[in-house]
Amino acid sequence: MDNRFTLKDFIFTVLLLLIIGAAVLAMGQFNYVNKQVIALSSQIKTLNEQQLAQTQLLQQIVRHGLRIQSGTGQTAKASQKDIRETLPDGTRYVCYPNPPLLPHNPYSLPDYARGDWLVENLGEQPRTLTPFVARDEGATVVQGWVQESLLSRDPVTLKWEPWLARSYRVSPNGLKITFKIRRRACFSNGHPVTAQDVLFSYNTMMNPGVDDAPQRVYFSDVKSCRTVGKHTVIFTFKHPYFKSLEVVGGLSILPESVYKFKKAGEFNKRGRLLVGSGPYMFDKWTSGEIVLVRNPRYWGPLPTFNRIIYRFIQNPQAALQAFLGGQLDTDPPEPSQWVKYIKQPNFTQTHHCYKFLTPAAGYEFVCWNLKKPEFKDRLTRTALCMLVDRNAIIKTFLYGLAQPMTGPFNPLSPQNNPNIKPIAYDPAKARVLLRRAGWKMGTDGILHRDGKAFKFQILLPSRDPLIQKICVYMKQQFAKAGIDMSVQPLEFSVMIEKIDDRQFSSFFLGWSGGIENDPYQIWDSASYADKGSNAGDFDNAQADKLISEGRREMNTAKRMAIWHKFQAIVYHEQPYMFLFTSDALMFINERFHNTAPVGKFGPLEANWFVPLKLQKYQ
Amino acid sequence: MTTYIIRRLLLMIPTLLGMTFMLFAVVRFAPGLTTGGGQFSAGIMQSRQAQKQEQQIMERRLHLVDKNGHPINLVMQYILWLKSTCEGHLGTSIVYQEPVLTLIEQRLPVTLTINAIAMAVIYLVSLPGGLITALNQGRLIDRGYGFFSLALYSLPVIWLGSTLLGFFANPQYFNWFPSAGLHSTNTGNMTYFRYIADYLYHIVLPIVCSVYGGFAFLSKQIRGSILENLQQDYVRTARAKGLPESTVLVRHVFRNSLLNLITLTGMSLPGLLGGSVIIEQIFSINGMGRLAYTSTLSRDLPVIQDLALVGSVLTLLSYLAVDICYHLADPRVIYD
Repeated sequence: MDNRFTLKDFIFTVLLLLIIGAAVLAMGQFNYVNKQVIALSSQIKTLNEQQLAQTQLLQQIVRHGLRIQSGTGQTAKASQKDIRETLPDGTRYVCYPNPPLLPHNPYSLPDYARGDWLVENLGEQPRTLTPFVARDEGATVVQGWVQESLLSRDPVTLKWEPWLARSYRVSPNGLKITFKIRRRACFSNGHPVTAQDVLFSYNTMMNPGVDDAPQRVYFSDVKSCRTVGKHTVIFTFKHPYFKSLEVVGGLSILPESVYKFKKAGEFNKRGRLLVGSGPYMFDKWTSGEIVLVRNPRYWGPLPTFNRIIYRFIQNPQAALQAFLGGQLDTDPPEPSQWVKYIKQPNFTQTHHCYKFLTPAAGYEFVCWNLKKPEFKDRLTRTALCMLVDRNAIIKTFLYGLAQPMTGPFNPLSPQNNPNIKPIAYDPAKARVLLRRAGWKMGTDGILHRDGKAFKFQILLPSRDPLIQKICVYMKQQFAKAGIDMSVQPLEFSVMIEKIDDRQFSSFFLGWSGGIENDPYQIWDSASYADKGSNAGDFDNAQADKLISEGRREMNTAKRMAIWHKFQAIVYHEQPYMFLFTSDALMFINERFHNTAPVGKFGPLEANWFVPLKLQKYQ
Repeated sequence: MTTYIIRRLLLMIPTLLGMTFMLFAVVRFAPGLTTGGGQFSAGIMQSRQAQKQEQQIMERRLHLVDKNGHPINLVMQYILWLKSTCEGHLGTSIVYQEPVLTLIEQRLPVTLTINAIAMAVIYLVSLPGGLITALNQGRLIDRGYGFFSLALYSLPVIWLGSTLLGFFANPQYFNWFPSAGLHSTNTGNMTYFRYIADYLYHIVLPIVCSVYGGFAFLSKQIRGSILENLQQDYVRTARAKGLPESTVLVRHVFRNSLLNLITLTGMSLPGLLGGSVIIEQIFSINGMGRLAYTSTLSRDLPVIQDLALVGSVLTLLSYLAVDICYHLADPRVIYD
C-alpha cells in the first residue's frame, strides 16, 4: 500500500509539470528579451559608427575644403563623360567616372520612396554562404546583394562595364588587363576597397586549400595579379582567351580585413560570414530565412528596400499559396500554375505577371553515345531527331512556355546562329533516312542493321517527372518507327557515375546556361578522356579547330562568326538531340512599382520600389 | 540491478561494433558519386580538373587516401573512422562544409519540438481513448472510435498533407494557416508571447499530419492490454472484496496496463529525433528528416554515416532505459 499512486500524487505531479513548464517558458522569455537587447545594441553601435564616419567626412571636408568643389562634387561629376575608345596601339580603354545607373532606374519617378521589405523565396536552403565555396543558386542570389566585382554586366548590351573599377584597359593582344579602382568605393564596415583587397580575393580563389575547384579552373589562364599603388591592379594571362575580362572582372571582391585567414580550412568553414561592398549587408540566417539589411554606408545610390528576406519554401504549391497569401512578394510559378492563374482576370489585374526568355537560360537535351554502333552515323541521329515532335512536347508538357533549341547556344545569345532552323518533325523522312543508313525492318517489327536490332536504353534522373513524361512520349514515337528504347530512371548521383564511366547508350539531362559559353568543355574531342563533359565522344577535327580559334579571338564580331560556323557543324552532326530552353516566369505582388523587365534579364529587383502609402513593413 | 546495467552496457560494445561495421559497409558500397551542392539542375557542369580536385578532397576527408595520396585499404579506413568517432570527432559534411555536429545542432530543435508536441497530443488522445473503448467493448463508441482511428491510420500522409495545405492554407479556399515555415517574417517586432503564439500557429498543420496516424496504434495497444488485465484473477479478487469499480479500474487494471506503454514509449524515443521527410518537405521545414534525405541524395557520406550512428546509439540506449523502467515500474520484474 505504501508506494501506491494516489490522487494526491497525481495532483502533485501535475503541479510539478506546470511549474517546470512555467520555468521553461520564463527562461525562453529571458532569452528572447536578451536577444532583442543584443540586436538593439548592435543597431546602436552601427548608428554610432555611421555618425563617426560622417564626422570624419566632415572633418575631411573642413580640411580639404577646396578639393570638394573642384573634384568630387556632384556638379563637377556631371561634366565628366564616360570614355570608351581604342587607343592607336590597339589598347581598349573604358572609363566610367560614375557607376552606371540601371536603365529605367526609379530614382526620378514622382512617387518613388525608400522603405518597405522585399520577401522572396529561395526554395532550397543554401548549404553555405562562403564566397567562392558556395555552389547553390540560392547562395549566388544572396551574395549578389552583398558582394560586388570590378565589372558588372549591362542588362541591355550584355557587355561588362566598370563598377567597383572606375576604368579598365585591355592590351592589344588581350594578355594584360589593368583596372583602376573607384576611390569612393568602400565595404560595409567602412574600409575603402583597395587593390590589396582585389589581390587578396584573387589569392583566396587560387589557394588550393579553399574548396572552390570548379571556379578556380576558370582562372587557370591567369599568369599573375599584381598591385600598383593603392588603386591599380594588373592581371596578366598566359594565353589570349575571350573570357579573360569576364573571369577577372566578375571576381567577387572580399574585404581582406574581415576574411583574412591563416589556414584555408578556416575560410571554408565560415559559412555564415558574408561581408562586401554591396548595397545590402548580411544580417542573420535562421532555420526559416536569410535576412539582408540596407548597407547605410553604400557608396553607390542608396538602395530602396530596408530589408530583403529570403525564405526557404521547397514545395512549389506552398510557395504559390504563400505568395497569394502575401507571405511572399514574388513567386516564379511552375508552367502549370502559370497557365492556370494567367487565365483569371482578377489575378492578372492585381499582380504583375511576366514571361520572358533570358539569354543565360540552359537547355535540355538527349546525348547519344557515339561510340555505340547504333549512333555512330549522323543519318540515324538526324532521323531520331525527326521522329520527335519538339513543338508538341513544348505544347503538351510545358504549356507552350519554352523555345526549341537548334544547338548548344541560347536563341537570345549573340553566339547563336540565327540562320539555323530547328529540325522539323517528319516521321516519313526519318524512315527514309533510316533506310539510307542501312536499317531494315525485321520480322519482329524492330529495325536491324548488321544483324543487330535497334534497341537501346535512355538514362534519366528519377526525381524529374517532366523528363519522365517526355521520355515515355519519345519511346512511343520511336516504337512507331521500329526502334526499341527502354527508359531507365536513376537517382542523380548514380546516373552521373554511369555517365562518367561511359556506361550508357543515351541519357537525358540539362545544361545550365551562360551568355557566351566556351564550347571547349562539352564539345572538344579532348574533353572525352578522363571523365570529361564530352560524354558522348563528339570528335570532329573541324569543330576542334573552330573551338580553339574562337577561344583565342578577342574581337567579338569575328568570334561570333566562328561560333556560328561551329554551331552549323554541330547541327549537321546532331551529336545531341537538342530539345528546348524554358521560359522564365514571374509573379510579383502589385504593391511594387517599376517592375517591368529591363533589357534581356527580366524584372530587376534593384529597380523596384513601393510608393509610401502602399508600404507594408517598417 | 547495478551489475545488470553494467553487463548490459558492456554487451552494447560488441553490438555497436557490429552496427558500425554494417553502417560503414552499406555506405561505402552504395553506388553513386558525391554530387556537391546545387548541381542538380546544372547537370554535370564541372570540368575535369574541378572534378578531380573535388574527388581528392573527398577522398582525404573519408580516409580513402593518406596524406601522400596513397590509397588506404577498407579495413584501415574502417578503423580510422572508428578511431576518430571514438575520440568524439564526428565527420565534416562534404556538401555543407560544416561539422555534422553543427548541422545536427541547427536542425534538432526544430524536429524535436514538433515531435514532442505531436507525441504529447497522441498520448493525450489515445490514453483516454483506449480506456473508454476497452470499458465499452463492442458498443457503438468502441466500434466508432476503432473505425475512425483505423481510417485515419490508413490515410497516406503525403496525400493528407498536400490536401490540408491546398485547402487550409490557400487564399482561394480557407486562408486559416500559413503555408510554409515556422515563423512569420516580421518576428522582430513581436512580444515573447506573440512570438510563441506565432510559432504554434505555424506548426498546427505539420502537427496534425504527424499525429493523426498515431491514434490507432497506441489506443488499440492500450485497449488490448486493459481487456487482457480485466480477465485476470486479481481483478476478480478486487471486485470480490468489494472495492468500488472505479478503484478497481484505476488502481489495478489501468496501472498494470501501463506497463505495455513503457515499451512503446521507449521504442518511439529515437524516432523523436528522426523527423519525417514527407512532412518536412510538404511544409518546408528544415529539420533532421530533410538533412538525412538531401545528404543521401547528394551522397554526403560523412553525414549519412554519422546520422545513422547517432540514431543507432540512441536506439540501444533507449532499449536499456526501457528495461530499467520496467523494473522500476513493476517490482515483479527482476533482472539478474
